[in-house]
Amino acid sequence: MTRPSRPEAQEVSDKASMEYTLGELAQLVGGTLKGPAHVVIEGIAPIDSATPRDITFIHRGIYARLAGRSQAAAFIVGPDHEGLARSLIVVPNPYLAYAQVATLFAPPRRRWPGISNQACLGREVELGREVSIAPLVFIGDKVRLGDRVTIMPGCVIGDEVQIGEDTLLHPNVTILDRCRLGNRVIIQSGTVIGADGFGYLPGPEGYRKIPQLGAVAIEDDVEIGANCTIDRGALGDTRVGRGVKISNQVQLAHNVTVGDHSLLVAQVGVAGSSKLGQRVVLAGQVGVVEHIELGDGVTVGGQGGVNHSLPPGQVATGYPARPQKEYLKISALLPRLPQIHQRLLDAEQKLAALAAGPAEEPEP
Amino acid sequence: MEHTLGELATLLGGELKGPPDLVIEGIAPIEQATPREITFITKRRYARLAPESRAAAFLVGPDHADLPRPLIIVPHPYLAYAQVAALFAPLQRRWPGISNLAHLGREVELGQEVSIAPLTFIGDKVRLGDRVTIMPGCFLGDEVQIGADTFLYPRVTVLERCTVGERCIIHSGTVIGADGFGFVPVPEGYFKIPSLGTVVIEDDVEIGANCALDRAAMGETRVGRGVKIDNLVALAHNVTVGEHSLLVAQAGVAGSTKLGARVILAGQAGVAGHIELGDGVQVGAKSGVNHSLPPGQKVFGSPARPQREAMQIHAHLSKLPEIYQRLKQVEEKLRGLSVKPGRE
Repeated sequence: MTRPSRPEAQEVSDKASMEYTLGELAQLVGGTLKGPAHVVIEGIAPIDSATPRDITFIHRGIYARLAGRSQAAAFIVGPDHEGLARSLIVVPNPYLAYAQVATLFAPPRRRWPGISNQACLGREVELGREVSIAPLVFIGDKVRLGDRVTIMPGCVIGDEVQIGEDTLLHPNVTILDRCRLGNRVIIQSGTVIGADGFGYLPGPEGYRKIPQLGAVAIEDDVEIGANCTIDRGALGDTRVGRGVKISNQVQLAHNVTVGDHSLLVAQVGVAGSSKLGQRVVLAGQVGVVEHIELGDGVTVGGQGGVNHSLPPGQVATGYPARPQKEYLKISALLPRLPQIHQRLLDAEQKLAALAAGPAEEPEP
Repeated sequence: MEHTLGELATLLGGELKGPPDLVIEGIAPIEQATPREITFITKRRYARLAPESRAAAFLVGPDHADLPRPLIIVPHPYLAYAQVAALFAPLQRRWPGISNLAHLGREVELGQEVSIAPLTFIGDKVRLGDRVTIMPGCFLGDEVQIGADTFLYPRVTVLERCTVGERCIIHSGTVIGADGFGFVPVPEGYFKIPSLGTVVIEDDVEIGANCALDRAAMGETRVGRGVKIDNLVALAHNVTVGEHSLLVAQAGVAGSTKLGARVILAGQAGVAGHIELGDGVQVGAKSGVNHSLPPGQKVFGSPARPQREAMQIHAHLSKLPEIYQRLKQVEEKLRGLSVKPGRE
């Protein structure tokens, strides 16, 4: 491989030239404009650091108090702050409107134009239209990439992997043989999909490896954070359902199923063959043991350790995880344990006095 | 690589007791040291092993100045050990210059003696200071800036516009500047909140392997000067870590939380979002902090409580079976008391 003359990279519009009028923004987010439509907005910023060229937003009461001193040109607010004496865009959900406007101002991510000749492509690779493959990418045999797929530098795609349309792999992502990703999936850097599951048979000479014959299936609109690991199934697939969002350093073992629209926060781990229902939320550092089921809408609080199945809608916390109400009661009583112990001592003493007392006292 | 005992004593500014011309070829633990190696005593229990040790010489504090062996006496033997070990550490090999198997973008600015290994991707307008080392498989996005003498181990990813200070060390697999985990729930699922900000790593920071430091939603995620981070640590968007803090393996800090200076998070500690830990706060292993803590506070447990309270709870938890047994006895006696008068 010699260094090729570099093709022109797709240039993005200059950041500084990105600007919208307040009227345009109001229209985009479907809000009511209160103020001059022609005011030019060049960016979005937090309420305390916004300049007179930025728009800002108020989605919680605590931020409203800062509005008086904010230099922002305009505010995205909910109906509860439409009385604010500043230029406003009033919307039902200001947090969503913030995300929409921020998307507008986000500097577009550069894609490699076409297929780099510093990438290594296997045989019988099928590419959709406008696929971007950056330098230093390895693509195995019989890989199929849908239209507008973006593969950033350093990614490794194993044999027979299938990736749907508009999916984006950030730098240094690894997708191993036969795994499948849906449409509009985003995978952040360092994540490994399809490593062997952790399966061994104990024997007299140590452990015998159980081959992992399955794959990983990631459905549409999933986002997976940085440095996650999703292992392939022993038999059959490990499956991540539609719209699931996974943060950084999350570990899903072989044959796990994550139901649609679930949220897995950073450093979560789910052991083998466990099934999460739809819209399950696992907060940071939660652990789930193997071979259990969490029903639809289950929420587990930060650092919770779940060791048995939970019914739909259950809110659980703690280690081991218990129903939230029970956990809170225990949690409130724990600091009183020394006091409880003292009260037991007092009771024991009084009892001893009572038991001894009447016998010695003369009968009235 | 060899040094005489005299040279080592001079280097450490320590007091030599023994032959200055004794040749030392390495440093090793007290039980494993050979007659060509120096060892060190940092704790009393190691001193007991000294008579059987084959070491050529010992680095000791003033409390072991009378050991009848060749010695270098220093105020701080653990520091002296680190200094001598640095002397004997094998040189980390660097790729000489810029590999032609690396991809360099346009308008890249390189300082003097920069090392860029094969299979690295350097985006447009990247600036690398003098003597920066980029090992194979690293990715540096557009407009990334890296200060002088910083060392990136293989397969480190630094995404666009993030900055790393001088003399930093980043270990393999770490990702700096991935998108923050922010979504607005909408009827069809979740709307992604774009991450417009960056990550700023100040000077003299070391970051372990496979860490993930997310870029800010707006503004910066910031790691202060001299901070040391172990493996598999996660810092969410807009987190600030104060100077000289220590984050041990698998610790995690949720979004927008501020850690003061010299904070210590022990292994697997978790810190909730949008809170502040004051300077010098110490969080015990596997603890979960869910509210702000004043400077100097030491906490433990999940949820984390002041150390003293946590210790009391733990002491009484181990007594729980006994407490339950005694409660049963009290109840039984009470029954006896209430039954007797009834019979009369």
